[in-house]
Amino acid sequence: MKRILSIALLLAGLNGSWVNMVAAQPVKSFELMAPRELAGGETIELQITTGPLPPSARIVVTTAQGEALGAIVPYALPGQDKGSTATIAVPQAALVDRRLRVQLQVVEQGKPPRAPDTDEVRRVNLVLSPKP
Amino acid sequence: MTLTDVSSLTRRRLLGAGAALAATVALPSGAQAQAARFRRWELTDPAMPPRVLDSYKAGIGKMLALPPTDPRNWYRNAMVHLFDCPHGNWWFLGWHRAYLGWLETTLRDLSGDPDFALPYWDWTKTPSVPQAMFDGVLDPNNAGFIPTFDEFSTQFQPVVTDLYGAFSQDQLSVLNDRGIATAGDFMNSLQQAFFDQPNARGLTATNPDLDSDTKVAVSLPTIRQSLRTTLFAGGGGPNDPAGFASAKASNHSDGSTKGILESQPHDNVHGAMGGGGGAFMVQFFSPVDPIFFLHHGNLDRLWDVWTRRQTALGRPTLPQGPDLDAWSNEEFRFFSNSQSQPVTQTKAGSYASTSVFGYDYSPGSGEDQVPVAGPAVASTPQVFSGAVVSERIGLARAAGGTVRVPASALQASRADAGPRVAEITLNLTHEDLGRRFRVLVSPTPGAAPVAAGAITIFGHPHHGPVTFTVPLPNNLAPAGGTGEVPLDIRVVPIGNSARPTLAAGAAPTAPLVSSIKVRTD
Repeated sequence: MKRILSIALLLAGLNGSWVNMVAAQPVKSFELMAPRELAGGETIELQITTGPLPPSARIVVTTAQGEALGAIVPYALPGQDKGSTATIAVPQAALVDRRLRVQLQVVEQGKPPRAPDTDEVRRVNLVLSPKP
Repeated sequence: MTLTDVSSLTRRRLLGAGAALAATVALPSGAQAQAARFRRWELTDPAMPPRVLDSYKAGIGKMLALPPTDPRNWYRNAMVHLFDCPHGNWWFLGWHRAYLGWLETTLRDLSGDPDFALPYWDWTKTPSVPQAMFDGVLDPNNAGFIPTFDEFSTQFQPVVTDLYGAFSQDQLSVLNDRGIATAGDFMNSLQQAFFDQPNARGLTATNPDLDSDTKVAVSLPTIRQSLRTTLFAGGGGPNDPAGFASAKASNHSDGSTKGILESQPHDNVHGAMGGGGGAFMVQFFSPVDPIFFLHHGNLDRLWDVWTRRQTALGRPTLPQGPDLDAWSNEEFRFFSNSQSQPVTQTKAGSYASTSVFGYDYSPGSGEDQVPVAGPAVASTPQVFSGAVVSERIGLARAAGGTVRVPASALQASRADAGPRVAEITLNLTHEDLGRRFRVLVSPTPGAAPVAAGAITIFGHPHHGPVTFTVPLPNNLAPAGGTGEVPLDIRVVPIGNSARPTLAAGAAPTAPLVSSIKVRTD
């Protein structure tokens, strides 16, 4: 039976995240910690709950080293984007010492990239799925 | 093939959702392939007959020319998606299989091509809009399409009003759940989803490439991780994995957790087609763009790949227990067939298998995740022991040794590959609590090592040998390689975690690394 292990957000909730204003482009960073080492064959998934996003906006997810992990694109009835929870695959190598540091950034056409606000990104969670 | 053929085929094969689903689970892929009457070709496959795109264009042309009162009209077909499409829940794949399948029968009928089947776009193989999709009515900026919302509204407003007057209470309930309870709501919503020419598709023949983020979303590693998902659907809880088809929800207009397949290739390709701005493909009116059906064809193909992988590995391909009934019995109430009649297969369970429409797919990306039929050669765990050449961690020569493993047991492309792990035994003392180590692996001694994982000594104080398991990285052996790979596995301290100095007079501690093994299942 598949065992599900959820995760602790190392920084408690979104209030514990920080906006990296020092970087060339503003991002919101999260550090997530797995409760233990990955067992053989386990995979890592990142679940991100977003709120409504501006038209044509997307949230780009990278590791702290800048490796692209994926992006979240709203796909909903016009005017009725209530947000959703997206899943992004995470390579095992991105987890270092059971910790995963990710950066989130809102990219909109014709505007400079920016960090998402607390309503645009409501929750970030790391989920481990045992042996595929 | 006519309506009668399809319906009778379906009825014969699907005598009740329960029996049908059981048959689907038990059906070997070979039997499915033999039963396929139609083949959906990958668009750039040289083997694809030229008539496929010709028939697609002919069928679209006919549908565009039908009056708005005809359910087979191209825009009326797109409106069905706005009325009813599930996203972000476990009916996402089943509903879209039905949507493509019923359109396919209409195109087959109207194009006059009795062998027609929709082609698909393998964006992993070709991460740009295929040039063929800029030809004629395959491009929504073509003159055959309605150029502006104003003109669309003039033609379709009366039809929408009549439709809402004729909808059943069940249909109206669905529309109410979706926030488009009235014809006015629907037209207001549609106004935001309609993109006037020449912006009906954002990407162009001279700028057809998917953006860099979307290329990650369609990349083979992302697709493989999606295909390796073990559950059809997750529970929908905040810490539950989403599953392959996205997670459970109460009804198909409700949202839950999107799986990798939906939130990455599906959503991102939709978004990328806007070219950074708006276009049909970024909204629920996206089926106006003919590439919608090639995009969803690939998602449907990947569902088929996943289903065959699960079957080959002896795993369930659908929800289990009461969840199967909940999933199977969900009603899809807006589909019509090639004769403009409501379909009789209204339940999600009718669409659990591609056999409902009698098609299969030419092979595409991700197919390597389906184990080859035959003896399950990988089912027997194998353990390979190595020689420890350096025992003490933290010295100039990193602790560890070499384990010789057959290349065939390490190749990442093997679809049936189970976990491949290094088992490292450390002799610990109470003083080791809190120490942390990194495990490095290189395919040959002296080659650049790759971080496989880390070990942290935590919990109850340890004393004596303790074995830690660390997953091995992929790609330690080249695909097709033979012979043995001398895996060099080393353990190095992380940060300031040197072993405490022994007290004067204390007995010497045992060597730290006492055993190294590699296990493959």
